[in-house]
Amino acid sequence: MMEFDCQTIAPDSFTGAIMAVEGISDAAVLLNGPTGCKFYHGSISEILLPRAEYLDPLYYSEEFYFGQPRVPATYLDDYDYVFGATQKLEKILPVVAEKGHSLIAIVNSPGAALIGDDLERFIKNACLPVPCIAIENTGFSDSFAAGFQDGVIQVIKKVDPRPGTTQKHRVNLMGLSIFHHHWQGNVNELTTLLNACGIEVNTVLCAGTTIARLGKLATAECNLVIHQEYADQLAPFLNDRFQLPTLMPPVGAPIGFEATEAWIRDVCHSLDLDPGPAMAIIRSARKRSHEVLNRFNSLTGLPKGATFAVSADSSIALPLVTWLYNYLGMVPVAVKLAETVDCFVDGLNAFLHRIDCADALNADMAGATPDIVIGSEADISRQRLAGYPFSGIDISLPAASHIHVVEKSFMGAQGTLYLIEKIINGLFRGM
Amino acid sequence: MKIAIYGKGGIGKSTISANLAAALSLSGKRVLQIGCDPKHDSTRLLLGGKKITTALDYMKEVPVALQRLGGVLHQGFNNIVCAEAGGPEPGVGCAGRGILSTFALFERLGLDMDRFDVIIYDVLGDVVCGGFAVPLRKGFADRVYVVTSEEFMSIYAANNILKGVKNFDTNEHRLAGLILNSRGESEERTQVERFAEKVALPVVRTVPRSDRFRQAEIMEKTVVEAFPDSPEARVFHGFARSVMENTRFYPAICLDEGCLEQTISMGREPGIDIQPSAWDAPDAPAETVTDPAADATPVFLSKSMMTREPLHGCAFAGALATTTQVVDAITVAHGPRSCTHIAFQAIFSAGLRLRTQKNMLVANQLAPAVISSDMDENTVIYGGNDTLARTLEAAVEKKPRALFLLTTCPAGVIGDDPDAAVRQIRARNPDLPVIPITTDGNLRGDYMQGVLNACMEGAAALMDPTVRSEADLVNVIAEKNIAYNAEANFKTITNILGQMDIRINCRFVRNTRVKELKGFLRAGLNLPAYTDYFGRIMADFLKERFGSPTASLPFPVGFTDSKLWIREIAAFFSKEEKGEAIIDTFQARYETLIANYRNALKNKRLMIITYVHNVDWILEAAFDLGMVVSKVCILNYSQDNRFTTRYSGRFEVETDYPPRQRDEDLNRLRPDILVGNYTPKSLPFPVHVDTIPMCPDVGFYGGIAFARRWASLVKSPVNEGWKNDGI
Repeated sequence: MMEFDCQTIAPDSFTGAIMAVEGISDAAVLLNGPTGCKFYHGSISEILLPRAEYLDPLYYSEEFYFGQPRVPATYLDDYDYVFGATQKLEKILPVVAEKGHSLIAIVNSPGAALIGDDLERFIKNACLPVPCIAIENTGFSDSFAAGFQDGVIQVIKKVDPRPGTTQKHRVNLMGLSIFHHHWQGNVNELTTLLNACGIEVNTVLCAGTTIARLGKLATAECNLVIHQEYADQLAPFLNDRFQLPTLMPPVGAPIGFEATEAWIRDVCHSLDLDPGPAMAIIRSARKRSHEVLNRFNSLTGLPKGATFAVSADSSIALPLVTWLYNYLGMVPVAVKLAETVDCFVDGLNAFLHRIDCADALNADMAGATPDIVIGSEADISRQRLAGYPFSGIDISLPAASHIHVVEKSFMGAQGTLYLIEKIINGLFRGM
Repeated sequence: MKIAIYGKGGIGKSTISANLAAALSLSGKRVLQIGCDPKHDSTRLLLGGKKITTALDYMKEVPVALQRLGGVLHQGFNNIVCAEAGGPEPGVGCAGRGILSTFALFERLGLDMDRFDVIIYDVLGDVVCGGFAVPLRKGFADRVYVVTSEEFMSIYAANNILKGVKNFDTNEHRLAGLILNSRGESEERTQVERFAEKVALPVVRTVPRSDRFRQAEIMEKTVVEAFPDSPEARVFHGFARSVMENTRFYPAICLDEGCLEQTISMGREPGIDIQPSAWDAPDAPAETVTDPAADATPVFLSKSMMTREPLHGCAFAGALATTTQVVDAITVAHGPRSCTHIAFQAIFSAGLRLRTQKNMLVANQLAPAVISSDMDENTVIYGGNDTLARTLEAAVEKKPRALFLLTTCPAGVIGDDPDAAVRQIRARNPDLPVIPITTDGNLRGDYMQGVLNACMEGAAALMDPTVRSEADLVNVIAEKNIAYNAEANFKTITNILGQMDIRINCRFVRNTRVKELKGFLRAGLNLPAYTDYFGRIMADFLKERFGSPTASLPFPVGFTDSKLWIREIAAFFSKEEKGEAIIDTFQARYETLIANYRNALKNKRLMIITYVHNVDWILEAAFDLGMVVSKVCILNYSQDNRFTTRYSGRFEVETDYPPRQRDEDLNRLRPDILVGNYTPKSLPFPVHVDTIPMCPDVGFYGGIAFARRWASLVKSPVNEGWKNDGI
């Protein structure tokens, strides 16, 4: 039982900026900051987008790496804050440059940002063979999305993609970071649907991409947004710089059958393509869904009438709540939105009013005693501490300790089936 | 008396401060002058031009364990004690942060300010950031003089200083007046007078322009020393008397820019500064000052801090991981959200692992009671005390039994004064313990230093020293909150103690409550979970501060350790018979287990490469099984520095082991099993590899648990097929 209901602490723009760069397979963050800021980011980036062959710290015992393969740091201490980190910066740059990265981003920690070390000067003086950028201030307590997009924009400015010939039916995916749980599975699933309609995915800004792929981003016909909160600054930037139009998802991320269908139809319509092949895949998934639900419902009456709580960004919450209600007949009792740009809050609010569940918005999750909780593992753990039986589905970080061998998705057709599987098994266990 | 003398750079503060100090000392006062200017020339005239080590240079060059006050305090004219903060070259670093670090150093080394009748802080500029405002904080200067000349920029700076004073003045006024350092008779002093009138502050002393200042400067002396009978010296003797006699202080009134410009006329040519330009210091070292009382003060520092190794993690995170173990307290984290998020993740992931692997729900690990002040860009620029006060109030509303306050690097760099916010909250909630803990991110140390500070300044502050010890009660100390088996180990220990009718009084500091911490001294003995560096420091601290004794042995791992541990505790509580009975019950089972695995492992060669500094629990099992221990290689580890073994001489051992030597050793020793904390790759030949935990499970079977695994390990293929599938 919790003594005090203090809010879970969400990551901010500092982590967002680091994830933007670490989401590029051949780019690296060089952290100008203390090891306290390094260890978490070095660990989480290697978990989310593994690159290293070895995890034994002894392989990374050289200065600046502190036993981790990722996010080398200048390990600032009190003295460096007073006198600046000149010597360490001069020393670390060639060390990191030797590792064969295609781009290095020097990112100031929040504390280092206050000293005012001229990072550009160090980059210039180092005369490195690797392109370098300086992110001198990632912001203080800004949203993760703001830091992430700023990081992506700075990378793109440095990569400076040449406007080549536009490849018809080639798209970039954006509004997704490696910090989104199951990002790889979701990208795979959406790529499958797009490929089925003859659409090629050029790159994902910036989740699992490479500097070379980013260099070709201007050859795409348009950008497709997955989570609008993570693309609201990026979209106008790409439009201004490359005249690249962006398609915002009409009803949030493609979660649930309806939102996925709406998304793929919208994309195909814009590219003048037939959505039929993707719709066939979704139809097939719907058929499988019906088989399972029909049997489960016959025996249990569920999932209809089961209650649920969601804690997520609004681009996830709107399609998820809509689908859970319309398709599965489940009832929302608590909907908590993350503190990002609230793109779909009005839509969500209107929907909850329409179904007579307006009280669910920002309701106390523990007090609402839902049967299913969908959110981060931190949300789910808090609910466990409240002591009521329920089943949790982790769709954001921090995630559960489960080691996923088969990549999971909660978007698109397969993602919807995954959610159904988790929900009916969760309800079944709770019976 | 503590005097801060502020003024624009180059206005003559140092000359005035030094002459005032000289005059005060000649009147019989014991004077300390601290220069708070990166150019570190405040005390030069008092030291005969001798070069002294600045506090910041000293911090950089001298290991913490060897630092003494004598290294930064120097004896000047007429026994005036002089110190210089120092600071970075122009254009790099943060000089304000340097002032904060200097005062933190003085505090850590135990500088006794009460030794002096007068302390003079000579402070640069116009209070541009929190660091330079340190002397304005409560407890530092109790009177402030502002030096100005007739020039506009100087008056402008004086006005800015008044703004700073206003921000720090709460109930009592500290402004004593303006000092006019005149540029010459031709200068228009009416604008200073108009400014003084507008801000309702008297010009308490005018220092006339005189060539004697230049002549004294050449002699590397103050005017008071060089020309003791001169009119200029008399000015300072008079000033010294008025400083000592003054009882009148003024509220800080500052003008907005428009009003300031109207008040004083513009467009005058700047006068000639009476102060010299930069000086070349001779090499002769100044005489240093010692403070025997301060040097005897015990210092409890982490290993990294003590040895000046790179800092691992930050004090903020270490402290948060500790204070959140007090389950009915709330911790306020003052800083950007990222700091709290990072520290939160470490706490949460330990809780998650407990839930996943041990099916244990530990509330304070899964939902730690912490509130972040979410310092934003505005807070960083304009200071965060208001934000902090609001966050503390929000925490108070949740009605905790105690409130801890931790600060991050940004809060430390901008020089926020959390004590001011704490005083506010304490005044409104006199019954609530509100406890700030020294952290400032990693500015005050690494993760382990944060853990130490949270224990010593935080949890220990709650202890009631009047409590008397009761029979058969023990405290558990120095558990590792990030160890996933901490709860399981605690249960094992509780069970063994229970068999001797000994109960746990308080866990210091894990999964505990304010009431338990208050009654800490009810227990007559502390049991350390580990006697590594952390455990040893905790034992020393509890002995030194509270006279509370700690057992010599840590939570035991393996048969012999368990036997010795039980005997030590049983002897302390006079329960030897019960202790022996417990040992007997485990003896037979242990011997059976050994017999089961001896055939499989006898004569097998074992090599260990580990960060763990006590591996006797593994060695005991190995020797009892008839294995041959080829070599034990101890890697450098930020948390410990003392390798001990009771099997000395029975194997090759190397501490501070260089990892690059591994392959050579493997080729030479050809072990059958290589044990470490991680599985290494690219070994020179195939060998069975196993991992051991950093924090093993305690109890009689802690070591033998690995025997079962090794018995099957040696039967497995030395190379698994999946290893061929790497790209």
